[in-house]
Amino acid sequence: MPNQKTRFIFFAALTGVFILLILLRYIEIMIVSPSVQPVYSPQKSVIERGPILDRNGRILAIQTRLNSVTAWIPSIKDKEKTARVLSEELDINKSDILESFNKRSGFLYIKRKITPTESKRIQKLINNGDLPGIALEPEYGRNYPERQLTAHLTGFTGIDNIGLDGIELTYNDILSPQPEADQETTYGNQIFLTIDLTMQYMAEKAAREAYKKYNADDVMILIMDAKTGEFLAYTSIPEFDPNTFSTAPKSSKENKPVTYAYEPGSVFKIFSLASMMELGGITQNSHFYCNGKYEKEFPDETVVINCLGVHGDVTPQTIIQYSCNSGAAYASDTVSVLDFYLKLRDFGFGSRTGLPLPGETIGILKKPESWSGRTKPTIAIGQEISVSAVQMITAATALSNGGTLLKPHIIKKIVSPEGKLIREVVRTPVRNVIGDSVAQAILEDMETATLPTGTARRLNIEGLRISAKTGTAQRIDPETGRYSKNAFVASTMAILPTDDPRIIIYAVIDNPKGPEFYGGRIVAPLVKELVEEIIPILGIRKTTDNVVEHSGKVTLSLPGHIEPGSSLPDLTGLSKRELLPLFSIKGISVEMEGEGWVVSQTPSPGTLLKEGTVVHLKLK
Amino acid sequence: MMEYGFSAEKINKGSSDFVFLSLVVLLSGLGIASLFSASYYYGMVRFDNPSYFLTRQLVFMGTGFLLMFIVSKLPKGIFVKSIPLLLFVSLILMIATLIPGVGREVLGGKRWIIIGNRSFQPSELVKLSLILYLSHILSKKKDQKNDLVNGILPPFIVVGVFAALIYMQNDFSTAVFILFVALSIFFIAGIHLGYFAFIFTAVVPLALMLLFSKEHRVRRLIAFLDPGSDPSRAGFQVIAAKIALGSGGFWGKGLGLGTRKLGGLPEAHSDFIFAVLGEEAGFIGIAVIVVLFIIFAARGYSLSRKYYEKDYFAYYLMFGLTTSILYQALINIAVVSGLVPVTGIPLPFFSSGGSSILITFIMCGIILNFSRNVSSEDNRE
Repeated sequence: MPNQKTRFIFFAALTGVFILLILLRYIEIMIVSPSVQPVYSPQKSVIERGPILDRNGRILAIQTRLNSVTAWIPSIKDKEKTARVLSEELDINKSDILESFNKRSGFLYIKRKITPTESKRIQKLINNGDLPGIALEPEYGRNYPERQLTAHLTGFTGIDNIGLDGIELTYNDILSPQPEADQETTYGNQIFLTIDLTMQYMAEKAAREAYKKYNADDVMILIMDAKTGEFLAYTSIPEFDPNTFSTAPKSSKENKPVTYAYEPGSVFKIFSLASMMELGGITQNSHFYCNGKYEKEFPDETVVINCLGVHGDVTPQTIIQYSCNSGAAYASDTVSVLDFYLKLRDFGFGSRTGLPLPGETIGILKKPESWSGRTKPTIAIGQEISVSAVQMITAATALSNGGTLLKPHIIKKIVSPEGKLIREVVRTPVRNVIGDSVAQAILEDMETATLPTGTARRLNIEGLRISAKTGTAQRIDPETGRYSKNAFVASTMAILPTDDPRIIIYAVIDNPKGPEFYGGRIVAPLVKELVEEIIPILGIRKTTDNVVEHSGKVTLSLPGHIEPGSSLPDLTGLSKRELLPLFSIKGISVEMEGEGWVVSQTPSPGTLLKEGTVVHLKLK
Repeated sequence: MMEYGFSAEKINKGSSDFVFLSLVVLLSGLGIASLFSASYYYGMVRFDNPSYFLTRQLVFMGTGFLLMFIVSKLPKGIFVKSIPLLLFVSLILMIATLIPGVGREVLGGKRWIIIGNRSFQPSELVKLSLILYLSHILSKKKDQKNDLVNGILPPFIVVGVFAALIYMQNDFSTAVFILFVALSIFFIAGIHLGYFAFIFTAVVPLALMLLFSKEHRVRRLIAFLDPGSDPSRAGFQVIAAKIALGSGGFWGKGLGLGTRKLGGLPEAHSDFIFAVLGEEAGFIGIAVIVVLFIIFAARGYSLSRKYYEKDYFAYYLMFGLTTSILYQALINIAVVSGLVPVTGIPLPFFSSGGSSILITFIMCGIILNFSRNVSSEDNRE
């Protein structure tokens, strides 16, 4: 049957073509254009996440290496016994372990990031051969030595060491860069915050006390360098410990200073009056009459805004001093809706400040089209507008900088693992919002609020000029949509010293419960105490201080970062805590003896630090 | 045409084809060596035993050789007689895989059944049974072979039923492979080309429909067209295999010295063993293996040609068995190079896997059996 013969030849020819194609393909991918770059390497390269430090190099977040308990199920000889031993050592449910042994096959994490003590015990059992199939695997973790202190700023990382919130999230790629192909360990960059841990500690303590004392929903205290826009302290209570973030209640993790929009109340008068003055509607000499309320007829409604008192004839200065609502409302009649709106936008209201913290709100500043007759005078007294605390303190930089609004900063600098400065954040002017004279006028008006007759009199400090404004806003009751009669936001803004502002402090107590709820009564004293505490750190002097100039010893502090190759500084007189940055130096080990302060050191100051140098310190 | 009896004097007459047997031994030896190199790492991490797969493979190969020897010595008549039983057993086993509790699901495919603590893949047995059945039916109905109702339809329906059952095990590629082998036997048997046109118009659209009905198949297809589009999943094997091959170059890194199998190349010991071979033995090694398979097939075909116009059952059978082994190898090799989409077809003599090895050796045993009888027949004449 010749037909069948032809068919076999045809079939064989087709097969031949197929084989030829295959061989050509192999020639192509093996010889002509081989792709050799590995898409995957079985050995994971290790990334050591860079630390987060305060402005002086004190550690806020640092990499740790903890062991995780893993299991190779095929190698486990006695599942029952293994599960029992592990449950005893690791304090986890035996039946859970046994269940995963039976349900899963191959590799398994039993418990991740165990304590060094647990690790030691498990290691011993493994060495004794009691736990076949069980192994300890080192894993990188994150430790926050200051615990809750800067939790809202640093945020936290998840179990795989990836930033989940705060700077850890927004700067994840800087702290933990993509591993380099040829290196086993990739080191992340160091981020220095603008925060001063000492001031942060003071602010946090004050906020925590107020939080307890007034049973508040939330207490925020922000301290900013008035000349640079750098946050020196940034605290919000409730807070959480980022070391154990997973067990913290959700509400404690809310970063309120950026995420929470509220009506600021009377503190806002400093910005509304500054706007009116800049727009030419009012001058320092404008006069308004307060008979206890502001009243204006519109075709379809009569707008009435009550004042807390009958202040009679008022000027911008007395409006701020007494926090006169009707005066501020009448003053707002002198400017147009659109001008007023645009000026408030210039102050930064209704837009984000751009802090690298997740979830920043823009607040609520309605578009002029949707303003009613009531809106303009109401915004003038700080209601019908919602702001965030960072917007408020940022807007205040326009007052402390001769009218120039600054960009707020939380990052001071970024330093590479080799110690090279990658990025340094400097004062960043955004725009001129008001004239220098207007800024000066408002600051001076604010100073009168701290006079014995002013609303911020409880913030008066003898010998120190402070510009301040207090506020007590009614909160909108979320249930009724109307202003609540017993829920308030009490706050105080302080800029000091008035003649040459160095710092801005903004403190907010949200929904204080108790007989006292006025900003002037509960927030101003808190700010006063805080100011008293921090001015010595900043070197701000009261005129009443007995100044003793001393030219003796310089301040004791370790340079921000030391690295191999530089010389060892004089460490004598430093406390253990101040020595902390020493431990972050790669390739250098530190041995300490005793407690207290350094009394002697080897090698001596000025010695060149090399990889492998051992620094021995005696403390007393 | 001759009648095969079950008479004793026809057993042990003549000797099996030495060339073919040598090729089987050579390929098996190379297969074992490659498998050990490809699997020791996986065996070490997975089973705490670097020679886990080697030992297993040696046991299967030993059993395979024994089966091959027995089958090559059987009287020829037993093959035709066993067809109904084989088809019946295949059918029962295929249906059994679909019964929960008996069938075992591995990586999404329900292709295995469990006997004791061993698992068995019945679709391998189906290959053998169908080739035997088709060779028999087409040689018996040689005169009716272009009669649609009596000649073509019955075998085609049987093939269709098995292909459908294999498809239901979620093994699309084996179903297609069985159809392909069946069609090649139909083709060589001289079925009118018009029927092929008919079969293609009927089967191809259906196959395409079924192809696109499962996500993992579409994913594999996309991965085939553009491996980079999904490097973490379906395209991964293809890319990983290419890198392994590319790093082998012309001469290779040397046997046992490849590194991609250390986790970089999934399924290194089974379907992608050829990539390990490419990395370690280079293009030269690949070429040698391909040439060995070509010689193997050429010998198989040339042995079958001796039955041409004498015994069509033996001719079709040896053609079908050789084609089955050759094309499994070619498709597997083509998959590894990314020439055709990823299938689950193992490389005969090389890939780890029990059922596939046993059936391959039985197939070789049949070929050897008929090679021997050709010789004895020739001697008699």
